[in-house]
Amino acid sequence: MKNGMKIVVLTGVALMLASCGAGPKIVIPSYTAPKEAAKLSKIETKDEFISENAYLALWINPEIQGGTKALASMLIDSVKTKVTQTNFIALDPLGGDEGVALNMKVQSYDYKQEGNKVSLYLDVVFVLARGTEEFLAKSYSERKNRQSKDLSRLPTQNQLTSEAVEKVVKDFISDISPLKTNQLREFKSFPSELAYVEEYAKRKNYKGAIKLMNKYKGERDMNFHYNLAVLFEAEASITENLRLLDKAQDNYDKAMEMGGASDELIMSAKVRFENFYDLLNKTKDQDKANQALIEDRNSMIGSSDSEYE
Amino acid sequence: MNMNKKRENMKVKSVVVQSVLVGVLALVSSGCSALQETMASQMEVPTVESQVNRAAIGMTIVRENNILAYKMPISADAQWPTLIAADINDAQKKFIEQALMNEPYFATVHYTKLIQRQMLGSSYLMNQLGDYGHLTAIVLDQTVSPLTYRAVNKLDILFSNPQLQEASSYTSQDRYIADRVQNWPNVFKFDGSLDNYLDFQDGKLREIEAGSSDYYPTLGEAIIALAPVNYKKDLELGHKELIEAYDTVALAESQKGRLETKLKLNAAEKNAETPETDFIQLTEQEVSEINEELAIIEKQIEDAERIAEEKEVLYFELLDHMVLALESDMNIDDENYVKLAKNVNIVADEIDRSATEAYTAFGVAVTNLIVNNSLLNFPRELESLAIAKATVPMHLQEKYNERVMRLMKNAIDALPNALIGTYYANKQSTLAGKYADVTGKIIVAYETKKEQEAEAAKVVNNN
Repeated sequence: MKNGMKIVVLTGVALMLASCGAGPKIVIPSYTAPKEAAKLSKIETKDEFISENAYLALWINPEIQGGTKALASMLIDSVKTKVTQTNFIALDPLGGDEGVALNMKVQSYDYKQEGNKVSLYLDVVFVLARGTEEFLAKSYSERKNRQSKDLSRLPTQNQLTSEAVEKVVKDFISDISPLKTNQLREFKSFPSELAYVEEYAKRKNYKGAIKLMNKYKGERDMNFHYNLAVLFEAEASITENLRLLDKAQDNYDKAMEMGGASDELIMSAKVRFENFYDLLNKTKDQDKANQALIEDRNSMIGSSDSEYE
Repeated sequence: MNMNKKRENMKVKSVVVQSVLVGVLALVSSGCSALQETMASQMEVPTVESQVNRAAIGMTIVRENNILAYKMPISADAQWPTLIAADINDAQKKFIEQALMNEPYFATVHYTKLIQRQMLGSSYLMNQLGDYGHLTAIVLDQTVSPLTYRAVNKLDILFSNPQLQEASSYTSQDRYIADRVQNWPNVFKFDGSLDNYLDFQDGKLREIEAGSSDYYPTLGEAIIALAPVNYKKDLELGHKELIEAYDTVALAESQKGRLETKLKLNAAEKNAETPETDFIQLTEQEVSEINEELAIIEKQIEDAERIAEEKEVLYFELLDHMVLALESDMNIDDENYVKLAKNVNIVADEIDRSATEAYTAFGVAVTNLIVNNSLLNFPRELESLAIAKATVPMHLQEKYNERVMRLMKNAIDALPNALIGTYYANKQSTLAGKYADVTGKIIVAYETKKEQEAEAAKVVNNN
């Protein structure tokens, strides 16, 4: 019985500590890592006349097997929108034997309306090929199911198709390119003199928060460096400023040296930061290399206002 | 004599300690309903019938949980998750009481309670408190137990009749109630086969609204929809294998419960002052064979549980990986994605809470059937019902016969149903807890983002 009471009391204390221990949180923009990263080297093209570094580019084959013209047009438009979100991969309007082609095939498209229910199933195969070598062929599918007593609340076939297209294209592009997303970061507790930094961070004024932190004269311990790292990371993720990203890296490293390696929160944030650090650097470098290709193509076409920019 | 008294005292202590611990545990883990149920059981006349009904309510909760997890389509704009999680107001309580009055037990129990209390006394615990305990039990005895309200309330939401009109448009309250309960399943009818333990035998589920967002046939599929794309196939397979493993354990548990009940009822008839004339006693040989069979089933349960635990670990690892992937890719700009996560979270919390309540209902039923010897007193209980029949009005005699017939059948099925239900309730709680964790991450991120946007907007407005 005594043991039972002990367990109840300890559980209560643990629950209280758990609920009190959570620090303030912020959401920061970030990038998803491409899941088929190993295939990226196959998309790389080296052409010393265009760029010093290899560029990543795709030519979208407008001939799409299966499906209607409208569906083909939706697929092409959606690929363009998603790819240009980060410009990690450029769109090459000319293609050619040496370039990488994206071929799409609608394997299945099934729309049904029965009573107060509508459903749609879409399955598309995306194939990346250089010449005759197909190095990535993957199918992506999406099922949509809707129902409502009020038929006017149901989407049209076009709306439903568009949503399904958006989803399969997003799944495909996220396999080969970083895409924008969000991540959650949790601060460690701030010293009482810096308590208001939390308010700055809550209002997304990371620049002001960093200034306040830098003026702090007290002890700069593990928590201080971790919190500063998170603020630099947050500001860098908005401005995509690589210099700020380096500062975030320095502070994460300092926090790690001061014992952060055994702290779950710091470790988890550091791992995610490093992924973002790596992705943003790569994306920026790649964007630069890809830009050379776009300039080259513009000069060939004689226009600077082309759709692939 | 001293030894017997000592043993008796130890037993009382053990029951008190168990009750206190069950009560504290129930209070900590699920709020008031489960604790109230534990206390309510102590005020009842200690009948098999009360425990059979409690087991039926436990089964109803488990089956409702099964509906919430596997039968009820869920979408971002579905209203039913909010409805089932809401508190029950007084008007709804009154309706539940009226609806139950058509049910054979609730329609006739008022006429039999007094005679049964005179013949069977109060619960073991209340009897230890002497006359005071007995009187307290009579005063506090509730006909509709706290868990019954919650379970029936969910029936009203999940099996609501789409053709139901406003109460004022009916010519009588009875007609309104009959129309409102038209699609409900009969929850007090036990299925002897146990093959479809998790499904109601009848009833018609409501349709959901999903005009502006997709609906998913099950909670597991909604979780898969929330998962990053590369996790979907593994999650589908892991989930399927886990459910199959759970079913294997539950089936073995039900076989065990059936054999144990056979032995218990045989013992009860052996000790009865007036044995049932048509009851065929088991021979020594048959008793021994049943015991051997029980030993084999125990081993099968052990093996099946081990496999189920392995599958559980695998599936939960996949969900943990999903959480890690979600931490790096929060799709919180998509309002429908967040709304779906919120609805899944509400349902997962409700399943978890209800599973604890079902667990309590089964625990109380099994304790009262075995520890408090209700099963051994069953012949005496049937005798009390035969005597009480004379006090039941003529127009309710048919319902009364139905009640007694049902009790005879359900008494055999109560223990196996409670055992199998305990297993499922435990598993439902574990799985739902995991789903709540996964969706909780998305909700926290979304709320943080909204809070930041609101604070940032304040700054802009002030400037």
